[in-house]
Amino acid sequence: MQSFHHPPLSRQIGLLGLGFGIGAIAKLTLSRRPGSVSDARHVKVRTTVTIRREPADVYRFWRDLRNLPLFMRHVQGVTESDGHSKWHAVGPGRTRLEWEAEITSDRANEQIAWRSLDGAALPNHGAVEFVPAPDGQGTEVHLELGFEPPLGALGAGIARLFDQVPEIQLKNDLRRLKQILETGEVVHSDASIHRGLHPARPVAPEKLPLLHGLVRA
Amino acid sequence: MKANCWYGKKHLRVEEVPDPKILNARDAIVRVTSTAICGSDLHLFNGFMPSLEKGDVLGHEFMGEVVEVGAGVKNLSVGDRVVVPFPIACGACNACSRGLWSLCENSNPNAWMAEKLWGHSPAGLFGYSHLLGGYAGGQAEYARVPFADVGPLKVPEGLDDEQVLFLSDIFPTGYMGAEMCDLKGGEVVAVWGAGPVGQFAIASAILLGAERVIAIDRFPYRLDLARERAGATDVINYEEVDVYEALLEMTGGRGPDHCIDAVGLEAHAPGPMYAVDRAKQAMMLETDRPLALRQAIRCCRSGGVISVIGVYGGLIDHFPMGAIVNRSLTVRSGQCHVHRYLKPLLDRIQRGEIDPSFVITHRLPLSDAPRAYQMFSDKQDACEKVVLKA
Repeated sequence: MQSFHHPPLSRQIGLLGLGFGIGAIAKLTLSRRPGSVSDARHVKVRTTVTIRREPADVYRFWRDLRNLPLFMRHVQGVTESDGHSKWHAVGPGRTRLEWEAEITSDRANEQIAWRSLDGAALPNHGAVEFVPAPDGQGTEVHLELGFEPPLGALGAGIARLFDQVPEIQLKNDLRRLKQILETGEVVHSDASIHRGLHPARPVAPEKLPLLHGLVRA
Repeated sequence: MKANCWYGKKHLRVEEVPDPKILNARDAIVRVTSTAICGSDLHLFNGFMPSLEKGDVLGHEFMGEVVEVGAGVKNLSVGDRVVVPFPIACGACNACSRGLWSLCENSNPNAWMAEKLWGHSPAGLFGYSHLLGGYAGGQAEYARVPFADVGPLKVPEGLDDEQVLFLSDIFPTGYMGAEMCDLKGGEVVAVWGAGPVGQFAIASAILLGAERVIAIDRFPYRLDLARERAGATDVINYEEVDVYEALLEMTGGRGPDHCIDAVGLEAHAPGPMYAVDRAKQAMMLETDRPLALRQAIRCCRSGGVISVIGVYGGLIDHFPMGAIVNRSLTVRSGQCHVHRYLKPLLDRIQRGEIDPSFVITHRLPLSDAPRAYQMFSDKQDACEKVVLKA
């Protein structure tokens, strides 16, 4: 499944700077980043969203790992067999990353946790919890990802990437999950379908990026 | 197709752009038959709204004929005539399910930007910045309408464009402004701003039972329209009299029971505060000039509602919180939840209770959009409302 990509983060932040001090507001917010903890070797990112579906529905969609690239923009494909999954992703500088992972915890309708197997270029682990929201409003999805960038240039690049605005990327991933589960597909605007900044206007058919197909979850 | 595109402050161009395509299964493509310039479009024109890109197609008040529907749209057919609400709403999220359509949680693909500015994101809007979704607008020959199975209202036979076009925004917006005052009947309501939204707030306050409605503006032609067509019982020209003194005089010292701000962030006022707020805006110490809002708070009767339907985008200074707390005032606001009002207001139009076309002063071809914006912005030629024909 083809996914398409965010504009570079620096340009996204630049966009915010266009009007009256909004850039300052963004910087102020970003400098706090309560959702992430990082030291030289370990980066942790957390985010959460509420989806108006039963925990069982959200769990079922997530547990089919082939669905993850539909809403995780940096993940291009996941296949699963014999309890192991193989992940294809795009890393910093558009480097291709591949690794194998195993599910370390799987509690139906409640939680899934996973970690990469030895030999991953970017050792990582993650956990997602599905918690019923108050008053029957649906499901709170709490996602945490952890990375242990290797030493050296690639590791430094990854650390820099996650030192920017990881919560925004991850939150946008969860927002797309919410769109799929609540409306049936990822929601597109004339500007959002393009990489980088693009005016809010239609483009000729030959310039139209490949979009996700309709997903009925 | 031709479309009205933004190229910077006071710089618009009507130019040829590709026709819109279906991008989501629940989209429809509408051939625009009538579109209007909104007072809030002037905030884009005058450079007060952040996150526009050169080439953005503007316009959020439009209607037309369905020419294509996506696979997920079952309730519309090619050939249907529809009015399109300006907020884009999915109909499925928690906000939509509570009737808070302009707060749709799924329709803004750039929600993260709005979250940085406002804490949470509202719905995406047509032609109203990237912060609010990056959707092309309806001042064009064709428009893509997302969630077309939720928003558009089919227009019954026998109603012409001009009678129903304003269901897209300004009639419901004015109506919601009056509704937020919780009128029981017999109240005195003051409305700041006799632009098109103000006219509909005045007319709606009368429809909802207000006994007196006082219109406040500085342009005699707008005050005349308010009195003669919208139903205002009294008018105040704020360049001729002191608004606070006049309102107290008219209400036996009580002040209006409720006050509606239909002005928003580019308010004008005589006196030094105007210069102070202009300067702060220029220096980016505040983004919005809340002159009408401050005055409404000061004038409102104790215990009343301040209903804010004028557009604000960012920060204001010298907000009289003390008056709100110590006099039990209630501030209510929101971008209009248009979907909620489509049917009830269509019914009022069909019953002949109101003909929204009374605000129209100019009918121009789409190709004249740049000139029309300038005219509307400068209040030339007694301009109240411009309808563009594609």
